[in-house]
Amino acid sequence: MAAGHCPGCAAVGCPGCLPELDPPRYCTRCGGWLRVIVHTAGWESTCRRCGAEGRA
Amino acid sequence: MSRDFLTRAGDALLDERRQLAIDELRDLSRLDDVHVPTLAALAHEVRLAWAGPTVEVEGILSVQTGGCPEDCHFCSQSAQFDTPVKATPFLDRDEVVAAARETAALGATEFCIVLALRGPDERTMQRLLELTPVIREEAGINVAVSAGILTPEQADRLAAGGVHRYNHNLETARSFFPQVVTTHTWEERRDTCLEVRRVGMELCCGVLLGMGETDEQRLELLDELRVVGPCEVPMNFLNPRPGTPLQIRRPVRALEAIRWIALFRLGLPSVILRYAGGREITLRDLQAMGMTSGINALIVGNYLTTLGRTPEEDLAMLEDLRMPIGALSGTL
Repeated sequence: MAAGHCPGCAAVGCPGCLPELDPPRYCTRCGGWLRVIVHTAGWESTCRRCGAEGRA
Repeated sequence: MSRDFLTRAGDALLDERRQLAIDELRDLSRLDDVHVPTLAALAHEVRLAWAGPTVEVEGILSVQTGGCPEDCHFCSQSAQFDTPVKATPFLDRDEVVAAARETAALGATEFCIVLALRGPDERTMQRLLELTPVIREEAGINVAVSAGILTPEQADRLAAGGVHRYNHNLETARSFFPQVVTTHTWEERRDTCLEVRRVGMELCCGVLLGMGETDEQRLELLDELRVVGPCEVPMNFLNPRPGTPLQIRRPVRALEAIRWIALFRLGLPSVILRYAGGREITLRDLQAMGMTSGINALIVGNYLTTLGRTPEEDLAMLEDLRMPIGALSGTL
């Protein structure tokens, strides 16, 4: 959330609407859609707009 | 009276080795909440007697996400609803194999690749037939596929291509289905299930409870499953997804979920009854209780588009319950 975009809805200033058991859906840096792969032990994301990558 | 119902059910399943009639299951479904732990204990005993102590662990992977033309009202992958899950094309081979290896390393014996679609086109069929032997050889794990409605010819090809198990859920009772899906029929789903059995793949045919169906419709579904004859039944509980028509529904209560897990075991005594989606939000602290209420398999870790508990938590639960992990099959 430090970058300002909510990972659940992409809105700036949203206090956080991502359900507890969801991976991020939107890039916290630019608000773009994330390509997310959810696998058994984690997830990986790539922003379709800025290319930022994430994983857990 | 409640004790009589439970005693008669135990006698039938454990001594006479006969299946319960739907009327008997209806009596059990109406027991007061206070009797649910006893019902669960009976279901556990029945599971051990009919299916043994082994628990089968499976991992799943969404290899083609979102953009589905169907309108299943519970699903965040339908293109007809405005949900945060957007279309992602078929994953690369290496991504799928890496996920399968990760799953196998956890002790899982089944890896299911899942696609959001109505049914596979020829290009998708070719990808599935290319992937199946690669996954099996490189990850050393049985391959299951969930790719929607199949033609008889497609079912034949997947069976010949080494697909071990095919998933196609009935989801809900025939009488309730039109209220949650309008783009295809319950009968189309049933027909695919029957094709899967005809060609010799193991049939995995799941249910999704908590969409607004009545108890009577849950019993109807149980009876319909007996006709379809799956070797595995994944039990999903609705996780209301943002943007879907069912987003406003409340999750099934934990004790109600335990009751229905037990009833599905008592109604389908030899089936592989798998913990699937929604168990975290539905059962919360009662997840271990479900394992002693008739469950003998689980999807470990994450789901298709949502997260589950960590695999380590699930494996620790099985260790604590002293339940051995291994492969199960339709030959129970």
